Amino acid sequence: MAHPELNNFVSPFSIEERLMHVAEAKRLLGTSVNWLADTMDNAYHDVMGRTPNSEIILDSDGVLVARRAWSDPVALRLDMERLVGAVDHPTQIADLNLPAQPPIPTVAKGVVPRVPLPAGAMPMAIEPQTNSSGIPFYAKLRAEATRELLDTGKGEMYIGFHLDPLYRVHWNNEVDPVEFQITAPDGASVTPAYGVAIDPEEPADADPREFIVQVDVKDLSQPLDLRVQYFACDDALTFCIPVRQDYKVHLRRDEHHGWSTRMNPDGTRMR
Amino acid sequence: MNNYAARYVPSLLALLITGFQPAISMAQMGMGMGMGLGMGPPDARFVVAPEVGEQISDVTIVDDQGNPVNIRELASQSPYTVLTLGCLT
Repeated sequence: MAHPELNNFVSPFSIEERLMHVAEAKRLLGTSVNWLADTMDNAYHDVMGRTPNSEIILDSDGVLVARRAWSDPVALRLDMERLVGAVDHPTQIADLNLPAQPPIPTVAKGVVPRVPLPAGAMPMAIEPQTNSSGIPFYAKLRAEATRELLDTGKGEMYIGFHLDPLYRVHWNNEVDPVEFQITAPDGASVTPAYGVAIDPEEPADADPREFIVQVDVKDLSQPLDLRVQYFACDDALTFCIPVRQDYKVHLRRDEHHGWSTRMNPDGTRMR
Repeated sequence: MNNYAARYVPSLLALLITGFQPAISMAQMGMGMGMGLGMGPPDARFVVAPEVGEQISDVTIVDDQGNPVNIRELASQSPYTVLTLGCLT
């Protein structure tokens, strides 16, 4: 994900969830172009040098006839005119009559204070541990680390559990709050290794549950094991189930993952 | 559209990589960030990517229903194919 938290979206953990993002994009944008999705190992993203907004034109042999590291519709139109000829009446954005659909609504937000990210924190590679239950990751982990931690093995780590808006769920604050437990390899430490989220008076909300922990490891190749427990409750009030899910948190940067887009009330970017 | 252009109209594809939100903002505000508006970081550049004149790597991704799509095979179906990556969420 390039812009985590923008309109509450969180990174998909499976190709099925990535396709849910595609479906939501189609709903919101109302476009009629064909959509493709990259594989979960981001094969196309790698082929294109991990440029997040590039565009290319291929001929029928798959040979590039034009490329741009950042898409440019004016330049693209000129390319198309060069390749296939000009059209008499170029389509304008206004001609498309695109609908303006609202984002997915959520229950109350702004109930639980946000935890500031450590200065210079960058997204870490995480590995959700799927199991046979088939229960989705209604709340998804995002982990970020300071450069110091990723370089030396010692430093601060942010862990945040973000509800996935595509599942239309909320925190039910009338049941036990979110808990996490981190198990470090031998000779390493995480402080605190166990935490319980605050229990707000509001009966339900959709704010992330966030923590800062201190990590001290000698071997950066050894992942941390993280377990989280929470109740997943859907907004339609048809279920409220206890969920326990596991992750491996790798002490390396996730090169496919973008920076948080959380904003301060004054419009500046919160770091 | 003139006859030549109509005959050779390329297939236009929006490629979703990891989301879509900047494009939503773009559509709603009519101004540019994210896919398709040509306003980006001034230092956006390819470090490792196929050059013009080179064949794209043999890579297979999926369509919006999860069906595999080989990019070279896709390109072979039209005179020209546009692929735009969207950093949309």
